[in-house]
Amino acid sequence: MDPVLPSQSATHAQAAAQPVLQVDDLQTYFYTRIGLVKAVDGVSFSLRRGETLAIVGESGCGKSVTALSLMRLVADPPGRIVGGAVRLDGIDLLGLDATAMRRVRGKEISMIFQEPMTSLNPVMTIGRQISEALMLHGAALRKRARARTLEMLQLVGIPDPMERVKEYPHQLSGGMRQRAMIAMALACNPKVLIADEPTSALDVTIQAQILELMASLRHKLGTAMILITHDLGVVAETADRVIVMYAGRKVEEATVEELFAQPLHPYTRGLMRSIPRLALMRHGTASAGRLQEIPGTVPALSALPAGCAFAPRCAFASDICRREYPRYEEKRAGHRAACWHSDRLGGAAHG
Amino acid sequence: MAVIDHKAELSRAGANVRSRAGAVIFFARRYPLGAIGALIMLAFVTTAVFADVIATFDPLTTNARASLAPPSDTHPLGADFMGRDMLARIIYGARISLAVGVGATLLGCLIGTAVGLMSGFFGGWVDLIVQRLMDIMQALPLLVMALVMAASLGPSLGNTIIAIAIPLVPNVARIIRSNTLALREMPFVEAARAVGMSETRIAFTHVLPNTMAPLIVLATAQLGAAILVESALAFLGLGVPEPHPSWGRMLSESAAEYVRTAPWLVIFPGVAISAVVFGTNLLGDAVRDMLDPRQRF
Repeated sequence: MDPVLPSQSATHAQAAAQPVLQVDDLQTYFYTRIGLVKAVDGVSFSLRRGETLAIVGESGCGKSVTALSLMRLVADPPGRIVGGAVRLDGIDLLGLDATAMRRVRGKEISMIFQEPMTSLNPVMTIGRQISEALMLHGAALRKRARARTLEMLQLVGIPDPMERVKEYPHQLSGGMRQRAMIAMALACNPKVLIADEPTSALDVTIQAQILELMASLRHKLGTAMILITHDLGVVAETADRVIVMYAGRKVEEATVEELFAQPLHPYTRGLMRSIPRLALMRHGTASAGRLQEIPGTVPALSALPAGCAFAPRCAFASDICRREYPRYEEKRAGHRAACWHSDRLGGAAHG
Repeated sequence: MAVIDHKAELSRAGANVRSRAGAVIFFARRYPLGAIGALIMLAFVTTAVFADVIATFDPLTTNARASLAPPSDTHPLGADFMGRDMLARIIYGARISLAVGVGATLLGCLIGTAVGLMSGFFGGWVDLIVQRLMDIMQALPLLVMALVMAASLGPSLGNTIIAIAIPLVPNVARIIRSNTLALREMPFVEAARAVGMSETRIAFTHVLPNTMAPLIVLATAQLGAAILVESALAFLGLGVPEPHPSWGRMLSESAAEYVRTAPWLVIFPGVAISAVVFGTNLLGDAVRDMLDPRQRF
């Protein structure tokens, strides 16, 4: 078993040292019949050891493609990573050849998917699937792999692991399958875990359990995590820092506390306002009680407007927004956003 | 409203099945025709395997005095014009049928699976060329194709197996390819990539095992066809050569000359062929029903 890091090391203070993952100006384009789709257009961020970074946005904003790009699993054709760098501990993953990249996947950087129902092979026992991932990276021979598999199943809170290793995915519930997926992803003790909507397909009570599990594993193993989600509730509960993406670009970045206290992009504010809130609905005024959606839809990525991509849906939009893309700049300490009118946003989102 | 007997319902659903024997009985009740098919196949295989124990006569020994003997105590199914015991020949003939049927089906499935998996998983121009080849092969019916193959390869047991196996390849390749195409897009394949598995390894450990259910269904269905084609080839003199007893050739030797004077020479091999093909079909249908995912619970 790998050494378990002291639980405190995973938190902010010490982790600030150096980033484990550094993404610079990542560009992933899709060449399709309807034209060039810039699914990820110049996204940069860094991830510190043991940190949880959330990437939020509506469907189609490029968050999943960002995740797949980090793993270099974007289907080609039609997709291609056309620019940027993804440095994992200083090594640029985009420069590796296919064989070297395969050695990184699952060992240094792992991923769990949205659909626990179909992400496990139905004709293979979960024990075999996990130990296979282990043996693939030479982490262990068959016998050691078995022991490690049991250990991982126990770690992710699957009861009676001795029996469960022999079971097939259809014999497990959705939550148990997601636990098994997590066990598989973490088996080789990767430095970075990417979780793409890990709880979206689960029902609410199970969601909470899985999030709790992921948080506790992060403390135990010190794995840095990128959490892709559209659920701001999940973000508030688990993330340290948040990136908000819109139409393939990063529009805002801040710590969770800062972001929820003072969103500096109208899109972020819109996202927060569209969360149903029980207290307000019960005895708020008519306008506060109603759920506020963001008007309009995400523009087609193949035909983005000239200026700010959010301008057509934005209440604050002015001429400059439609003309020029706003600079992405530090508006407050550690809080960056790309908006011409951040200063006009003032006041908390949760009014 | 009728009173529901929960215990009876449960036992009908198989809830009380504990032992392996219990499971056999349970499935025999659920698929009675399949059970009959299985029994026929069991009898067929046992006969083939223990032919030398069961048969009282040597199938190749001629006896002038017994020529065209009608069924009697010594020769229960009669004897052919060379005086060879029909029962012994039919018993030994099961060996040929079994060897050719199983051999050709296995060989055909093996080649077909390899071709289909490669074609479906890697796609591209390999897929295009392979599929057009399969189209050409499928343009000819199984029997005609086997006939051409057998005629060009020459008569021998091995060649007969090959001649029947090759025409089976396109059917198998088609099924495996279409399943592979669907499986290739499954999230668990993506998940396997995400743990760093190579494409070839994904094809063999994640895609191939998932195509086995339809393959088993197809293989049991093809077994009957293979046995039938063997008989047809033998009937036309292209099958397993003399002196090995083959049901198809036993028919062809006797059909023209003796069908009136010694009908047992035609009836018994015919019954044997029909029974075995009937058995494989019943079994094949039951296997298909059992493995059909829509009926699994």
